Amino acid sequence: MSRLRVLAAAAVATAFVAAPARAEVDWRQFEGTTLNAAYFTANYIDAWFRPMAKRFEEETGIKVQMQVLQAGQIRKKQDIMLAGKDSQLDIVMLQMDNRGGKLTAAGHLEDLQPYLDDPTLTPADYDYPGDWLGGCLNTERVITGQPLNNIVWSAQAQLLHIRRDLFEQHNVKVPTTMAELEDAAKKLTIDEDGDGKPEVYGFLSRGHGRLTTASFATYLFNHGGSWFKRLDDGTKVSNLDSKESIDAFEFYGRLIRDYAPKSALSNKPPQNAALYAAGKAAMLSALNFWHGLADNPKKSRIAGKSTTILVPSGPGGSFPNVPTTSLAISKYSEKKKAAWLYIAWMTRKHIMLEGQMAAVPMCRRTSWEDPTYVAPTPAWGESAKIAADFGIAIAKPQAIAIGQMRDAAGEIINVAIRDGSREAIEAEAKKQAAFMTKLVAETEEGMNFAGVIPEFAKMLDPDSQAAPIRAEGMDKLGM
Amino acid sequence: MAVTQKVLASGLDDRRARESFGWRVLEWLDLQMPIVFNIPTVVFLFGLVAVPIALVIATSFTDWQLVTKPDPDFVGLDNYVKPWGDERWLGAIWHTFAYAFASVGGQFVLGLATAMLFNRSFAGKAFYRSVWMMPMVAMSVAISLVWILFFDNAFGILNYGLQGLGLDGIEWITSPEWALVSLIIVGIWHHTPFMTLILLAGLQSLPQDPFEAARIDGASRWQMLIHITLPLLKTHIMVALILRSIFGVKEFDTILAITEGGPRYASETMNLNIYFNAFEYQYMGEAAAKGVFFFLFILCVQSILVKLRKRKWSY
Repeated sequence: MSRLRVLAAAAVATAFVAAPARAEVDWRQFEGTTLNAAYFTANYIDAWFRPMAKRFEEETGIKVQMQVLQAGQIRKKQDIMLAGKDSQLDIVMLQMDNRGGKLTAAGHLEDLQPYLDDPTLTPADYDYPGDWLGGCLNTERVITGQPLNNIVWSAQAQLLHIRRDLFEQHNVKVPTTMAELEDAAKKLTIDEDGDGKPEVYGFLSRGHGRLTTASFATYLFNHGGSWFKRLDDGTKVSNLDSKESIDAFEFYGRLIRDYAPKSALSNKPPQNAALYAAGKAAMLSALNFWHGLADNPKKSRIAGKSTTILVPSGPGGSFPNVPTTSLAISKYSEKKKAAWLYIAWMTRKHIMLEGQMAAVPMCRRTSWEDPTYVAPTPAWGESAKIAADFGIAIAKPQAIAIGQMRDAAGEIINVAIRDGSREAIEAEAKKQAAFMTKLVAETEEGMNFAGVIPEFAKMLDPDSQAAPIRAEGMDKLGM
Repeated sequence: MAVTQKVLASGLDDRRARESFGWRVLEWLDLQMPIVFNIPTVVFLFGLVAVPIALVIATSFTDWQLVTKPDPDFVGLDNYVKPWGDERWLGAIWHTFAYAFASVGGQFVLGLATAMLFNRSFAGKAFYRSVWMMPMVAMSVAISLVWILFFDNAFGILNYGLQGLGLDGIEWITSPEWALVSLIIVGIWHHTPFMTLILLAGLQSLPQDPFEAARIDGASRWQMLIHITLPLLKTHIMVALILRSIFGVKEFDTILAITEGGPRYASETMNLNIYFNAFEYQYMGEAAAKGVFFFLFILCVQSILVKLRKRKWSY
């Protein structure tokens, strides 16, 4: 061996021995710190966030003070604190498809990439984004060139809750297409005593103003419609007056008008879920976490009789709607590193698995694939996983002026439900689309607000669409 | 005893005491006491009323948006001009008038009727009066939630009753035609007891001589109501109408809880419109300008009613 080779080998060996191993995270490095977090009211707060906050404090010595309010209230509080550059707010819970773009554009959220890259703050096995499901990652960025300013953790999905017992009892085909959905809704609107007031309504979904966009979105996209489109010159304009979108409004309006109780027009999600749990509806289009209420024998008359499937595909394909939830750090927090430590800890593999076990659909692939995890029902597990893996965040018309956009879309849905004639829907859609396009021009000038990026969406194939139904053993019904 | 008197009473030489610096300070403080005692109130009112009003007026001349434009520019009178081309805002003004007029009108008619009823003697009067007053002490949001159940198209008690009478159910809070009417019904139910309370107090304070004289002269009950009761009750009626009109124009919580101004903005009043502009759409400048207009509007309503109260009525 030449002297040169010996020297080179010695240098490599020395470098190998002298190189520091990847630094370990000292979880107690911010012991004694108190973080302030602003969270939405949701089932996962008591099921996962509160117990984990206690464990986090035990393991790190960092106390997390959680302020939990209804989503509408906490969003306003967050906005006011962020606009006021209030250093008291550290952790922000948000849905990127809702206010994510607005907060990003205003620069209120901290860039998390440096923290993610810091081995003293992020454990070596964190595996981001490698372990994150595709649908979740699709929702993280809404403005072209946006930094990583949030970690998406929850993959709630808009699914179709179905009464297994009623489908079996009446031998009705479990729907995989929109036509089958309407057929099932018709057959399962049951008026046993013939008094004109069905004992069971075939279909139930949101019909109340701006809130309706979240449930309607899948029907819109599956019909080939969308909230917005880009013209050839790149201009973002409303697409709600397109033929496909109007088809979707007409279909959704008809379903609510003909097969849902009239109270659907004033009901908010909790009231719809309560009606479904009371056994008043055969199908409920809603977030998958409402399964917890339907399956709770103390609060439900249909415990053990309900499961979830994907919203059926339409002429435009199948696009599961995944309004994910993220955690972010306020740009004005004075405890950013401790705040990141909290986010990194909460989204560790074994901590997210605990959320998964508590029926909170998580964004980590390993949470779903862990051998100890058992889904509430086979179809729930299958449909929620497919949605989290392939879904896109389409629940709201993503824009800077999102509040007005949701109101505008809600107006068309109201006409579609109450009037229902094609002409009336077209007229309203035209009016609202013009308003939305004008608003985009006024509020997003010079901003490449991508919102939903359709290219991200992977249209489901019929086999995947039917997978939850097969998993539940209901694929032979109606044959 | 004033501080200076205390000093004199302590036995100090009168002339020496009056010439000393301490004496002069004490004497000055004595004179300023009314001002000193009022300072906390003035500071409180200034901080919590005058400063916010000044800030709102200042904001109304800017294009401040809460999240997306935190550093506002001066836009002159734009925010005062722009809303007048907005159908939704014009609708909100009309809904505010309609709600306040119909709701307060209904409260007055029912309040006067019940006050006259409770002014008579009958068995169990105290009990019925207590029951009648209950809505007044109920929380707005709580009663709103109960009324939402009453108004439910499919399962509500109101439509159940209508259908029991062979009539069609009404889409109470889900149709643009009925939403405002539904809110007026809730407003009348909720606030009539307040009207009853004031008018009943008025009725109980009326002199009995004119009524006895009218009875001797053969006046009918209707004539006594029109020509004696209402004129004598004028002050109480005006106080009740002024208070309820101001509160009627400002009604917010029940409307937000029951209809959120919908459907299709059919029950959106001015303050709901301002709330949505400020906190949903976050156009703080425009919302502030509308707030200033709303403030002036209430001031006008109040002034008109106060003038009516002070007017010399001839009968």
